[in-house]
Amino acid sequence: MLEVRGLTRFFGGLAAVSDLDLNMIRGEMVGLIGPNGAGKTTVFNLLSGFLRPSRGKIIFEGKEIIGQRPHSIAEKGLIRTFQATTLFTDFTALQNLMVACHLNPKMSFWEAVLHFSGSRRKEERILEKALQIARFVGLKDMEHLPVPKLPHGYKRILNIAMALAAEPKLLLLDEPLAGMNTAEIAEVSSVINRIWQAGTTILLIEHNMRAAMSLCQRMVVLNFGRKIAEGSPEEIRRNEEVIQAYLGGAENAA
Amino acid sequence: MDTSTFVQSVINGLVAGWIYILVALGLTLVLSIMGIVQFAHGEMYMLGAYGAYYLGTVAGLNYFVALVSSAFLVGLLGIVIERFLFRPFHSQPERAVIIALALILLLQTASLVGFGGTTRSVASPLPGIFTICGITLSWERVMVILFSIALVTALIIFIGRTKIGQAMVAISQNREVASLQGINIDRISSIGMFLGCALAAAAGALIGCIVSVTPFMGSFALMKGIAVIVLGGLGSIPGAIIGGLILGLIDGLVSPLLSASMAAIFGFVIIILILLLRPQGILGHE
Amino acid sequence: MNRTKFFKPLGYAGLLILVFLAPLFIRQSYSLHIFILIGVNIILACSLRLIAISGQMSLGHGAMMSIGGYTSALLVMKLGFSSWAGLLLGGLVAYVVALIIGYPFVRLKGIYFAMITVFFAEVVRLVITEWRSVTGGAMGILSIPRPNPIVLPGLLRFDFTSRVHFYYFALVLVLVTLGMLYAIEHSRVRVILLSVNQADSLAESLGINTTRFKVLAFSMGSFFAGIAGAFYAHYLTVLNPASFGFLFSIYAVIYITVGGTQRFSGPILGASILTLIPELMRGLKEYQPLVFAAVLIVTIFFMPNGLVGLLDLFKKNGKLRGHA
Repeated sequence: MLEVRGLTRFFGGLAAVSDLDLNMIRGEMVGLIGPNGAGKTTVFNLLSGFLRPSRGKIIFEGKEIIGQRPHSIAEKGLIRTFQATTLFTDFTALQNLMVACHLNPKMSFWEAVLHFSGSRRKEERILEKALQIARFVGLKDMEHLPVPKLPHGYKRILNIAMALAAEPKLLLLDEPLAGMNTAEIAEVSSVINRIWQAGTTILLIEHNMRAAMSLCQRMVVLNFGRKIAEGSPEEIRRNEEVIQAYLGGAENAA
Repeated sequence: MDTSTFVQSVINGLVAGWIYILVALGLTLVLSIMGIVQFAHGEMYMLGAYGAYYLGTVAGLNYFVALVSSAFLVGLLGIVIERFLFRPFHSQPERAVIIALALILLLQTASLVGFGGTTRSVASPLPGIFTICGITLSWERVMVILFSIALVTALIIFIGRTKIGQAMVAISQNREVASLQGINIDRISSIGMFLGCALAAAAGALIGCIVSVTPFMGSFALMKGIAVIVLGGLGSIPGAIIGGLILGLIDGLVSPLLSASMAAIFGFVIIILILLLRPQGILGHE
Repeated sequence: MNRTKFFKPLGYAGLLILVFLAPLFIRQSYSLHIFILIGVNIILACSLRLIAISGQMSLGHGAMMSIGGYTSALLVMKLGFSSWAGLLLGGLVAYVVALIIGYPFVRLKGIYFAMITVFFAEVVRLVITEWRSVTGGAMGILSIPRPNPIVLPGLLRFDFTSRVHFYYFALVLVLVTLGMLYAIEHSRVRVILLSVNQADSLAESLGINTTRFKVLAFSMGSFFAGIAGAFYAHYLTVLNPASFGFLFSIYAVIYITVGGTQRFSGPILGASILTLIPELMRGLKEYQPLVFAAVLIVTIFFMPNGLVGLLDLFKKNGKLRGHA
């Protein structure tokens, strides 16, 4: 599904990502891990079109996607979340979800403005879909809350839910468990698991090693922008280089 | 274009260029320290011209005394404006912009009402012309160029060599870190605003003996000032100098060939292109 | 609750009837002039608001009026178009210009977008001044013809010799404009524009073409400014490069700032009240910008969301006490 070859990105003279090869097949959940500053979010930015690679190829579903704008990459099914909780803060949770349904069902400008019967039905479908997703992720009773009033854990869930609404073929989750307590971690992990089981391919950046290892079948480890290891969670846990990388950066490997 | 006209055009271009540089430096100072595009900057320029007119031409003070006093007074006005109108909004630039727009209206109208709409002219301290190699030049134009260079040099030295100047640089690079280092941001902001407005006022006073002084002369200066910073790079002093000279020379050379409006169109189109292709300007950073 | 739902449309209908019948009661030509001004300013303010909710502040609205006005005047005077075609084309030309400059311009954020619109406005003014052969240069165009007469045999004959005719013309324009903007307001388009304003990276990552929507808002807003300019051209019958200068653009910004952009009625309120203020102080006409400046500053300091923001605040405090 995803084929990345030699992905490189320079900032000034420094390579934030260097010669990365990464392949993903449909239906798998892969974890992208590494110490802080290893370049993981940069990889996401490159994959989703927010940054242009200095070198390399990114082929998604057989098509080269470098140079396309993020919205058209999203249209092709590659959806990402952001590290910080980015939400539409003036809207309610439900309204956020409804915006996220932009890609499906699609409405043209005139359909939206002139309110034909067809567009009315589409608007109902959007509402239905948004409610459905809210239920699926466990936001059922909070959908009418404005974003600032949502508890922190649920803001993250909303983020993920919105990415879901965009009907991703490949979902890039950027540290969905950051800053959460044990209960929240369990909840969100189970949501992610459910999403994966429903058939979505997921690439996960996560600092929480335990959660990442329990969710993913395969891990890719980055350090200073380079891939230093790849394999099953078991293999990675025992990998010398990986342990060194984390200890060197004073990281907590759970 | 014959040599004589060419040289005169270049001189005019340099006059324009250095005036633009003064205005732009004042604007960039305020922008770097306070993060606000002070849209009413042109009005400081206008007030400086009127100050020189009233203190110099009307009250009879020596031109240079009038110029400095005018700049000083406008600088003080700037401090008051910064303290009460801009400081509350330093974290909300969109609101600050609207305040600045309101200021334009306020100052323009106050001047129109207070000074009257008749065009004035600041009496030149060095009237008269001289000839070099058969080319006629006016003393005042040369004076304006030299005085502007002197001012800009003084500013560069101030920023580079004094504690306050260095504090300004620190704030412009990282406001939070600067305050953690113990820099009094409020005080430096006031000083920055004072200098910025004084520079614009000086520019107005200088050009006041060459062009007509009206309550509406400010918008011209604002446009050119913004154009220069955009061209040369935000927050870059050498950029402002280069940008100002480029724009000034375009104006100086194209005006006699085509027209003043065409020169301005040229300049603006170039700016628009620069904004689109290289938004950080010639010497700006990302 | 049901009572309000019944009275609201009734209230609007009543207002509409009043507005339509106004010229029967208002004999003073000058008062009609004020209403016409209010109408034009409402069109300006509401169209600028459309641009504002997508997160862009355009200071070039006046330039769009100039484009619309000159297009219409020139098409009518030099090519014999009917003034109705002129009006529509005036709006369309403004729309197309905004479309063309929009794509590169909207890449800039916030202040920089405002700055480039200022430059654009200046370029428009300079081009109009330079292109003497076509636009009459700084002198401008004089004696722009009145709009073509509307004749419904037996019923009415509008030959635009009377201000009343212009009043109805303006009224129809305002209603059409508000109608179109209202349709957008209650559509998904508005939600998308607001989302682009709040978090455009997020919107982009969800498949929303943020550039296209920003340009959409900018060009549609400019379309209405063009129409307003065209109307003005035929109403004032004179046009020059300074007719719709920077001041007009600033005034439009003042209308929506004071009125508030959160609600559809904000700019309507702002434009109406602020058009009336100078009339109430007719003797001190020169001090008018001072009053505007003062009003603007007071608004920014005390009513950051404009008048409608204030009203919302009252509603909230009135209904729910202790609502954090």
